[in-house]
Amino acid sequence: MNASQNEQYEVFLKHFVRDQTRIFAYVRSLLPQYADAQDVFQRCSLTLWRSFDEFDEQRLFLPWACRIAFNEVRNFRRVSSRDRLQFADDLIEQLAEQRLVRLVDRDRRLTALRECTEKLNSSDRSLIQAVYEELRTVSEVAISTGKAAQSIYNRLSTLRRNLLQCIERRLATEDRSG
Amino acid sequence: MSQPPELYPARALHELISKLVDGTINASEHSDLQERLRDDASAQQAYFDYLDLDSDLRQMTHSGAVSSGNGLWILPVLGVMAALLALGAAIWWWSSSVSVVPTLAAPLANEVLLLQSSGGQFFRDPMPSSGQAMDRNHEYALTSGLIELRFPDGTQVIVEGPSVIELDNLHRLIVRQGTCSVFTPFGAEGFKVITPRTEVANVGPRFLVKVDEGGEATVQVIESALAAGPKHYRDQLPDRILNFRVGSTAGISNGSLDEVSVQRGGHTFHYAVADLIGVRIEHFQGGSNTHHLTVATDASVDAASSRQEVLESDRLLHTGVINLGGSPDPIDRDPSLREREGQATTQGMAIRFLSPVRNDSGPDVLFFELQSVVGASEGDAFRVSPLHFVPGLRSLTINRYDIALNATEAKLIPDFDLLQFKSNVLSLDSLLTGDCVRRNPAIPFWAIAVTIDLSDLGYLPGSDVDGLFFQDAMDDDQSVDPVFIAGLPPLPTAAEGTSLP
Repeated sequence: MNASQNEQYEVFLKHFVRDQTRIFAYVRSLLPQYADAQDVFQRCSLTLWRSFDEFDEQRLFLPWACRIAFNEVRNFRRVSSRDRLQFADDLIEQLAEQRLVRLVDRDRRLTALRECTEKLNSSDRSLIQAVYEELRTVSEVAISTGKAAQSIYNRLSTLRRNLLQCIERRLATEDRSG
Repeated sequence: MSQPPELYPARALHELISKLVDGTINASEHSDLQERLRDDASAQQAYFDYLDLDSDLRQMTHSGAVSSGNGLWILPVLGVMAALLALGAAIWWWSSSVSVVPTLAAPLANEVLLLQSSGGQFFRDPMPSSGQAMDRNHEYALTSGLIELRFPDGTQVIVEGPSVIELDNLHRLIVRQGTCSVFTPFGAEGFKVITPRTEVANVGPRFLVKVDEGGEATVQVIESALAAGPKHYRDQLPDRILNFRVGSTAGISNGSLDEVSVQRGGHTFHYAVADLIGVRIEHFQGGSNTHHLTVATDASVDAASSRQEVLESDRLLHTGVINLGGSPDPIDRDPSLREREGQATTQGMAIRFLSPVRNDSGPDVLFFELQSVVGASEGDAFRVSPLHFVPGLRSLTINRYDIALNATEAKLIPDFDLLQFKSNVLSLDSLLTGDCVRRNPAIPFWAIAVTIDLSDLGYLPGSDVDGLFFQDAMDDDQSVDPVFIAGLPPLPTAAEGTSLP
């Protein structure tokens, strides 16, 4: 890399680092399977860097990046298996538009989730850990804990719902307190 | 009783999104979800919120990186791009949002930990127990097996023997020779692998480093966790028995197997011994050795039934059959279990499972042996064969146990008596009723274990196996001593695992 490229790369990084969580959230909204979203985000990251020459510094980075991400998602949907269940194109476009508008709050939710998870009891933390960290299925967790799979499934579902409600409450409290 | 979805639209929507994310949604539910999302801003927001929660929980638990409130962002330095371009590797950029919430896992120690070992042995250094810290600024020579290390920044490294490594500091691993598979999560971008001639850093979250005897390093960057990477890159240790637990009486081990932990198809399962599939012995031929049974020191050995119990139904790891007969070559035809026209039966032991064992992903059968401290540390080699050969089936030789004598998971077993028969034991009947004398070994014994994957014998996935034949491999003057054999229950099906009613 020469000095000019270095400088350009620094500018790119400044934008990308600030917005990468939002870009991933945008991609994930259109590709709900986590692994799919990861793959497309990887490709998208490289495309963003390669296309950075075309970026107009006078404009916002996030909408530009999301437009490129949308194209990557469209390419992925085109080549992925036709057997897979996919949202219709018109719904994808709606979701893409809505998501872009609402990405601003993304970081606030992360902070709220941090506070909510701190309040989980040890049993719920263990369950989250088993499912999200150890990537164990509900049945595996059921076997290892000696509980019915349905009971684990219900608990997990309730836990996710409670976390979402907790996040909403915290955001509402913040809004009220200005 | 379930409620009509229209009474709880938010909950029904939540359930549909949950199934979508889990990949268990069916076509009709998918269509229902589409309709709920279409033109409904609040439903779409619920959908976004759920996906964000799922992404954040995944990141929190995997990142290991704890950030400040402002977020500890990945800052790929200029060298990232340069390194990637130089390597000609496809970019694997950090692939999702970064954790700005504390990990749910236990706080990471400020040490490099040995997470687990699969037959790992160091030259002149004892293998730490799982979870114990490794020494820094100390050269380890892993002579065989594999170990998995975790650094404080969450980086996980699988080292394959033979390798020579040193933990330089909490963010640097020196590899003087050997092979390491490295996974660096978010927040660990500063992690470096130092080889004699180069330094590897910022090449992506997954990469393989191989250093040859001359110090030359080869680095392979894995493009994606899902893509087929180089076949030598390991993202986890092999399937095997991880550990087992025995009961105790008054604080002293009673040798009774309580529970086993087994990695099958990449996932860990814990089984109570009662959930395992027991065996019945159908044939025994002991060869020239005449020590064939171990019994508890207070057990009767007079009646056939008590010997039968030792053989089949007890869960004690210090009692069972020892010194199986064997053959120097693997058998490739049905073992002879009954004498015919004066022709001897095949040396070894035939067992039948009390119910068929299904050939699932990874290990299907557990095999425990007792081993003395002066025995082969890797365990006594043995062969396992089908009872009935058909094209495609073969014998398998096991040379190394998953939990070998030097593993911290091996368990010291209680004192036992050894039955020495007055003549060679050529049949199961002789084993159950033959005259013998009782002896008490003077040295300590340990329980060690290995798993058997029925696929390695050529059985097709999903096929049921009702019995197996075991023989000593006759590779030395020690014979194999199986004290507990059992089948593993079938794995939960995908539907059982993820698509619950």
